[in-house]
Amino acid sequence: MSRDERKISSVPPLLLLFLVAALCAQGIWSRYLSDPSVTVTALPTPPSASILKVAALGQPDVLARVLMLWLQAFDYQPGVSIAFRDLDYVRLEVWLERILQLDPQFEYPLLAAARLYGEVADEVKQRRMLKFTARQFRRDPQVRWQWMAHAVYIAKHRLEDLDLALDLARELHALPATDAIPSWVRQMHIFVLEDMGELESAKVLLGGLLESGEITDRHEQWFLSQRLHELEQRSEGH
Amino acid sequence: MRYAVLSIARFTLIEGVRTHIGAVTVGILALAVLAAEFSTGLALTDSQSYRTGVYAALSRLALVFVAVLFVASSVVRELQDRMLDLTLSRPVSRTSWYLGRAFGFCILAFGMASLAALPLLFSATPYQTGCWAISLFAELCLLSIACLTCVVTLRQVTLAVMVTGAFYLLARSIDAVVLMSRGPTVDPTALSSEVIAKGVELIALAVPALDRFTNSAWLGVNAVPPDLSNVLLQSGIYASLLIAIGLFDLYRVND
Repeated sequence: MSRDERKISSVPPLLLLFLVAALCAQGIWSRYLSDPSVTVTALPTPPSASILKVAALGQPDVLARVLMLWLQAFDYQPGVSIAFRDLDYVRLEVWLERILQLDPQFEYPLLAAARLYGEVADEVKQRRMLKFTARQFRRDPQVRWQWMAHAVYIAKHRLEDLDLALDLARELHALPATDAIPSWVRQMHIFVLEDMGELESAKVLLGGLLESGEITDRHEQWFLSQRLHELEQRSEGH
Repeated sequence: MRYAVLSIARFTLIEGVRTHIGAVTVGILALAVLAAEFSTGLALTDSQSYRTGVYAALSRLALVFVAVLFVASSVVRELQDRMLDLTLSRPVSRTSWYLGRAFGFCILAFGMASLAALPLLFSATPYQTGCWAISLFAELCLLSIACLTCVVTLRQVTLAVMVTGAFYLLARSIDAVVLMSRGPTVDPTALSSEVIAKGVELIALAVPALDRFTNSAWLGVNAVPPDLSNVLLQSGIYASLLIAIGLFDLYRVND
């Protein structure tokens, strides 16, 4: 007992009884109440970009990061886990776009589109994410090339749509050669062509690439020369 | 005793009038209406739900904040000015003082909830608005009494408001916390998971689930508010518990 407190005996017995009764009543009532029910919430419609800018209070980069974490965790709602493929991808795409509008330098939405939402076992939804990635890539290709490269991989190996993979890879090839973009990124279309059985085209492109002098790394030159040699052997076999 | 309770409640109301709590409430509600109209103007579709949803959510939160601050500052001022000592030196019991204060704050909560309901009459049915307002009144009463209990124990505005705020946050999220403690990603065989789940269940027994109160979804088009008997019964039980805790502490304090 501290010096500012009286003994418990100074509390009227009726009040003690009332306290115990109220505590019991609260316990019984809580047990009587139905358990909280699991409600699966659908992804809400994203607000417009202008509302988000107002809500950002001058720090859109911070809001973009908070929203991205919320979106990423949306599949795990209290008491239930939702598969990514069960999300509404139309709304998801708009959310990703809004987050990118808030902070165009923030690459997380593209990573999520390419590596999380783009790898679900649903072809329509995968294609939607690939289109989103390609669209965003075109807005800033020098920075966003790696997500486009991953999109080529998904189109080629997951969707097994070589035509789509080739279209995407050609967009990468069209990028100007800079130090920021590795040369293998700009060569992806050659390997897609090879997989498509377009050996002659692949040979011409690979030979042209080697002769152009763009490849300066000796190991890479050796690797591509070997690849060209294999292509020549395979086309002779045909 | 009844006369003393009513007198103290009356003085609480007079204090509310003198500190312009009515004007503050109207000002805050006007800001909430403006924010709701702003969001309605920006919405491309479903503008009605934006209007009611934003207004209901903002006014609920703001009024809880105003009520808690008013209770904390009013009671702390009384304690610091030694007005409680003066009151108790008269033939007024501690129970009368406490109940009178609580009653006065509940009447103010009634006024605040009624004012908050008025703009909703233009966008929701009277029945929906009535249910929402009654639930808001119950919520404001609970929070006011919770803050009164905290002030009696802690005797500081900052601490009392912080503890009441934490209690409010916990009460509004307790259902979600219970669900998460049993969620699909929790390993039910792990001892730690079991201990945490039991601990959360124990806390849930002692905290009212305020997320089932004053839901803005009740105001939607064609929405049917739930039976309010659960809200009212829970409020009555929990208010009794808070009053009992507050009185227990008040009787033990040496003033």
